[in-house]
Amino acid sequence: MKRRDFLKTSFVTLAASAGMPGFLERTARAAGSERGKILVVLQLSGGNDGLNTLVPYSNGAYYAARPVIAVSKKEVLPLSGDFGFHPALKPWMGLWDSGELAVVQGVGYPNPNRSHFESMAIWHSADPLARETEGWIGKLADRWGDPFCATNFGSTTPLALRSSEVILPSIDSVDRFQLKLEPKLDAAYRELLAQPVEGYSDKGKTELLRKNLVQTLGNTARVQKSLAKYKAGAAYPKSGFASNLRDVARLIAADVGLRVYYVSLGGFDTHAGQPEDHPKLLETLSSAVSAFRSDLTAQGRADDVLMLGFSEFGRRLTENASAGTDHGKAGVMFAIGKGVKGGLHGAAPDLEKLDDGDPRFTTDFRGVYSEALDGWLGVPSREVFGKESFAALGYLLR
Amino acid sequence: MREYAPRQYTFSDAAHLLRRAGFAGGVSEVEALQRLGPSLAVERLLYASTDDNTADNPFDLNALFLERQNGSKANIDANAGLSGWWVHRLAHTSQPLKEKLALFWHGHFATEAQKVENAFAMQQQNELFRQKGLGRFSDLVLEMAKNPAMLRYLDNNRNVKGKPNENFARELMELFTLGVHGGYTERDVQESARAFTGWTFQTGNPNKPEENGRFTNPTFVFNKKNFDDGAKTYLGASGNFGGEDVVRIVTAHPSTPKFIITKLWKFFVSDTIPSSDLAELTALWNSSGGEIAVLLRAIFKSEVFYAKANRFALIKSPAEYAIGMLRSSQSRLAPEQSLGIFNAMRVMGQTLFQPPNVKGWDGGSDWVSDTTLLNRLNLAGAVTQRKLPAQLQKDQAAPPTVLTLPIGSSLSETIELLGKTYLGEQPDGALLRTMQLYADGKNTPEVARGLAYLVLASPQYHLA
Repeated sequence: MKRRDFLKTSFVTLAASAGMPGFLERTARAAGSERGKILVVLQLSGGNDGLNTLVPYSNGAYYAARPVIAVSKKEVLPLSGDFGFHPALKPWMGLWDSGELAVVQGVGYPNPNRSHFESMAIWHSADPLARETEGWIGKLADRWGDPFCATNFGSTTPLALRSSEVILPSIDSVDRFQLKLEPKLDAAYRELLAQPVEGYSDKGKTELLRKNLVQTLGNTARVQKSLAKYKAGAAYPKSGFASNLRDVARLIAADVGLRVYYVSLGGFDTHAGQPEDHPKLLETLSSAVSAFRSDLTAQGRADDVLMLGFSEFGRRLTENASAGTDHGKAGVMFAIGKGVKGGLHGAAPDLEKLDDGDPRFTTDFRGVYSEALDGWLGVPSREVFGKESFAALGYLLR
Repeated sequence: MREYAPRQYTFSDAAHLLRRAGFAGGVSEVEALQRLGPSLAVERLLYASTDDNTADNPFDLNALFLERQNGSKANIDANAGLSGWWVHRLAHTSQPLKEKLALFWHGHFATEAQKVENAFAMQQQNELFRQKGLGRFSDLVLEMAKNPAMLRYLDNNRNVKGKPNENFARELMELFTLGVHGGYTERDVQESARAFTGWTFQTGNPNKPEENGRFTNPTFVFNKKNFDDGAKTYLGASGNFGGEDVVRIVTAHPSTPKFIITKLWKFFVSDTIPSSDLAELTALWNSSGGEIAVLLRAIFKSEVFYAKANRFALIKSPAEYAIGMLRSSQSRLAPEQSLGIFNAMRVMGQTLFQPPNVKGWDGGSDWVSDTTLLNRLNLAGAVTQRKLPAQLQKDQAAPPTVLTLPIGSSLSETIELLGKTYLGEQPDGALLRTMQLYADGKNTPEVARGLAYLVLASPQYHLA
């Protein structure tokens, strides 16, 4: 038997035995590789300070509460008579001017939680009561019946991309996303994985590992096969976040069939020294996103991609003694893409009617998610969020 | 809890103990524990010698800094030096439980070197885990509250009267003692933040050694003028509390033993602690004043620890996977190899001194993703195959380490030895069949390397 034939057969065997119950059966029915709409979720971890991102530069309460860290009226990049971007978001002004950038103000959820981990879990599961143990993208994967419809960038898969049926992949770098062994050993190893575990070791966990290994090898094959198609269409800045977005562009250009990408940028927990740290983060964010956007145009895919950015909470109105801000509540989200209706959406929190010192939320984040599901990915949001429904904010073009 | 008293304490029993209480070990190390039997083996692991046989550690932070001062271009920077220092200890220590526990506490009192920006402070904190990790939990918490790396990491050095910084006060309850549902309020966060005002530290000049040629370790400082001496109400108690009072109150709260015992159990035994074991260990906690050695002794000597359902029941952390294969092979690491292993662990999802955030590593199924698994397989390939794929040779993540493999006088003996060395068991089922098919009757060093790969990449080997 030729090596290629051997591999072909073992993949069939693998697929047949990899069965997460009921899952692969649905995979067979799942949509093929037609050019669909793609969602790129950008997670700003640590609690991005919404008030120094979208600055309420006509608001006296803002300046009174932040004598040290406020962004002065002179520095703000004005978007309206009352609000403007932090100057570090300059790379985004082009997107704003062409109407491809929407900012949603006052985003949060009922009974806000100021713990990073609890609040992040709420955003990941889209359940403000934190009772839900499945991620919203994990549920999408269940619905599509495709364990390779979405991927995270990084080494571990966050809750958002997990469900009871599937742990969606995490890729830290597409170049490293391959297993290389000499052919005879490679074949033997695949043969080993094709057989269910028996014997002394705890069957449940060992079987779980075996299935995951099988799936991993399948995913790497799918990615490597298509990578050659990409030619860089933009110069990316130097940051881990930017190289992740570059990898996303490569996978989109190669049409590997992924519909949701999840990329994170950390460090937003600015309890101290915010005037030094926060601008750097916003610069990293906006310059990478802007390069990614140019690359998508070069790849001819700009029309198909919607970016959605969030953070687990905003920060307190009043600065602390360390030139920083502590954990707060409402924050801002943003949406970027040709399908977006540019501008400010949602109501800005009233800085004189605070909730224990924090801006109060005016827009439930699930409404923002819902609109992306219904209006972009074409998935009825109630199938993911259950009975509760949210009116569309209108940040997407109809 | 009922003590484990088998008629015969087997090799696989002792291998199980060493996988959990340490990072696995060579056949002779396992056999030594086996000879001691289930009770003395645990005493041996708990034995608190200050000598861990790693005095020859090639990573000396002070020397690295001095070298840089003297203008010579040190080829290893401080954080890499710190990482190499711990990998060397993990791989060569004669006190494996202490290192395992240090890793547990590092994940619990998670502190990121990147924010602390002081390798001496990180090393000082790490040594505390070794020195105090087996003692009373309340002592360890107080040490952490006064620890410069922690004070810096959670911004308590910026926590001053009138403008409290809540970062440490919140995580103290949510992540270090009570757990997020442990029964505290936002008010408790705010009040206890005030109690820690003025708790800060001073460093020596990080760029200039003292007259004796050593850099000064940072030290705790209580800055009285920044301390808020006012009345506070905390977890139902009232008084003009300071930080010591808060630590005393929070560690005496009943949620603390529950939270810590459950976490220890998940790390050392299995995903879920039975309620009867939790109750017995809580009683031990109360009678011993929360002494960690007392709890670990009871756990590792218990029958339930050895139960069949608890064997190969935990997904290995990257440290267990990488350090385990080195220790089982009794490999000696050159400095660049220690750094290679550090990098390998990083791409598998566990960067020493750089946990993902203040919550540390969640572990369990969180270790499993395409990328982490792939990097495990690539490590197994790198250490067993002489010819590395071109891609990996360029890649920092691949350590230039090759395991010394046991080879028997016949193929079946080689297979048996590989199983015993790495799994503590005979290969069976699919693994045995695949090994036999692959070897095709040959017993050469080349074949042994392939067989070792199959063991190290097998689903079983990913479990402890």
